[in-house]
Amino acid sequence: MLTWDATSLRVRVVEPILAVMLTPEEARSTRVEIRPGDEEGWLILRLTVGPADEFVSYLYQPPSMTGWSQREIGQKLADELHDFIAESAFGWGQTRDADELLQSFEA
Amino acid sequence: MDGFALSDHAHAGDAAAATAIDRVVINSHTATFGSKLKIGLASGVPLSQARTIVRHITDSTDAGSVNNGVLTVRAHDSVVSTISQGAGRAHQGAAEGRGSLTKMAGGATPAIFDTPPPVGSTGYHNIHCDVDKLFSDSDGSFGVQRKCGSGKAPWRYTFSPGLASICRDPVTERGLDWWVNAHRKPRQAPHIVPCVYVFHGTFTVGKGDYLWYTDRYLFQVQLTRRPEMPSSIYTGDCASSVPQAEPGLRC
Repeated sequence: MLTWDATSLRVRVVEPILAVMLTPEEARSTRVEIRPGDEEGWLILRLTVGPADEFVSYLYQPPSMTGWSQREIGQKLADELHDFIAESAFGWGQTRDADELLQSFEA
Repeated sequence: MDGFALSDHAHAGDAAAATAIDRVVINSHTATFGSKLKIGLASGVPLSQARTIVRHITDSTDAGSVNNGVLTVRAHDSVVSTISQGAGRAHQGAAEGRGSLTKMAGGATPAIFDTPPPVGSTGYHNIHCDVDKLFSDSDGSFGVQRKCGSGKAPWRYTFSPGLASICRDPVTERGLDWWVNAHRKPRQAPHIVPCVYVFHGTFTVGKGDYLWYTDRYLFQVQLTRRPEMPSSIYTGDCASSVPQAEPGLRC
């Protein structure tokens, strides 16, 4: 069964998606943290972009996400980032997605 | 979606259209809401109306009990309010503090939010496609809709003006937990936002699915003081059906 840990999620999901949904300047100002969540096996992603914008996602939540593919996890994250960016100070009102990238992810 | 016959037809005039959000809880600096929805069936099943506290806290009799700085109020409709007095402070006619309102339908306990009710049990609202469904009560409004043929159902929740008026920024939303046909789905994203924020997200559901959800909001409560009374803490209901403008109430 496909399993994920903080490193594999960061390398295979989080960083590629951030690379296409943030501008290079925004990406340079972004701090990425992945830490354990409150429930067993959960991993929480926290992003701080620039001085004021903070994003939190329940990145991986077994058992409800056990066996999820790279594309499924990436789609969930991209959907949440889509909302976050549109409401952020740096990307207010903008519609950004990672659809093309997600097609290249393992399904 | 597999397992569902997606013969979408929009229906108007659902019997459940005017019912309140089921099993609303605002508890210990938190607000929790939950409800049961069934997607796309023909007739609605109204749920019991849950009401918020309509009560002054004027003395210990009204208050019910005080333990370790937590004031507990029991209202007439199985509603319980707890207010942490210890964190409060009064100045110039206004009392501020961490407070909470707890609201339950039918005397239910918060444990009901831990697991979804059985699929097929009574009390699920029907959500027809192409209908913007809105469930409102004195705490807020929960809206959900699904375009006919779609497998997505966006939802939103806003605090009522009354609740927003006693809510102090920011609100921390835990993130919505949801179940489809009793199978738990990944928790949706948390937010730290103003009280007037339109909380929102999307369900992935199809015709015939049973949906159950719950979320939790953490916030400080701004409590106001009735000038002519010695009591320092009040709470009240701002629902339109309740007489307004209690002296000293901000809502």
